[in-house]
Amino acid sequence: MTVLDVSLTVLPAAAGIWILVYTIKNYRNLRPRQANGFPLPVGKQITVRELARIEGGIRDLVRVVVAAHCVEPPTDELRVAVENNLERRVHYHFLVSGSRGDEEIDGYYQIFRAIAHIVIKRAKLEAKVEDLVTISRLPFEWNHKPHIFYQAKGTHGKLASMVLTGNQKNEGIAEWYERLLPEYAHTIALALLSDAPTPLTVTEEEFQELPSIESDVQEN
Amino acid sequence: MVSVNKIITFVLGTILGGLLQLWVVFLIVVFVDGKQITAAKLLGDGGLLFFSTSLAIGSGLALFHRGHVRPGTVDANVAFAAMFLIFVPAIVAYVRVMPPQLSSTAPAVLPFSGHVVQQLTCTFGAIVFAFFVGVRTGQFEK
Repeated sequence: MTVLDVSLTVLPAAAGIWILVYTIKNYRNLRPRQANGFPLPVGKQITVRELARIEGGIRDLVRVVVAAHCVEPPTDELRVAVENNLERRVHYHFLVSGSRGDEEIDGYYQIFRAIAHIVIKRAKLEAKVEDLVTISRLPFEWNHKPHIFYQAKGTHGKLASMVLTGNQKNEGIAEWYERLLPEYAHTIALALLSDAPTPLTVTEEEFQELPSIESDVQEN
Repeated sequence: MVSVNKIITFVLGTILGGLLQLWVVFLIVVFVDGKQITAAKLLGDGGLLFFSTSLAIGSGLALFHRGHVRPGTVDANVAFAAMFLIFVPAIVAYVRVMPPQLSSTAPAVLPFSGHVVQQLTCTFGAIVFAFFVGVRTGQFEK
């Protein structure tokens, strides 16, 4: 066995031992960040079923903003999570592509309104449908993957934010999602709100103004 | 929260699943044919070198894509070092063994039978690197 053989044998073994020791010693720091108590590491891919479990399990969730090309109906576990969230007065707001606004009003958005209506009656909430579900038209086309912004009550009265992005463009609900880094989330939120979306009128009552994600993200 | 079951699945999947052909051949030779087999014979085709490099490059890509690792960070340097220390021995072993075999009129049946330890250390390094990537990308979280 030559020196070269020995070196080439020892080097991968040494690298393996070193990485193993490094990984075990720094295990806590190496794990993806779980900022603000949101139960999802950055970069971890999740299915819609897992998304439903997370969405339904975020403590003190205040608002869910869905930015997508169009609205798609929640099914199975996701519908249950939406119902439970509406029952605890979580506000769902949809931002859709500019060209889709009129179609969305009479589209699957009505299912969300119907769910909200049922929840209000069932749970005897003192709220209107518009307090729980609203929709706005973006001043541009959302030719991207769907993004979901979650905002929950954090410490010291501030709102904590988490943003997930789907894997499919021009869809209302993607096949799977992953969490974005907080700095990306901040940038997207700012870009999204750089032009104010136009509220879409469903009933004679006026919509509430778009909740200020920008200020909340900055607080975060 | 770490999921022990996910770590066990990773270990079993990588060692048993990733090297499935090896175990099938081993079982056939030992239990069906009833013959003795040595590591030099079992690993003489050099398959572990391919396995190691494939696992290392797959792990590296996963780290940069799903772990959001950027060049210039500790994670990136660990990845580069690990891949370098796995690729180089694998390439050198292959280059040293194969050209004489290819030019020979009667090539050996198991040309890598003299490089068993080298293959095993490369495989060990690649599996540990994959474990590091799994930790870094949160694959072992509940």
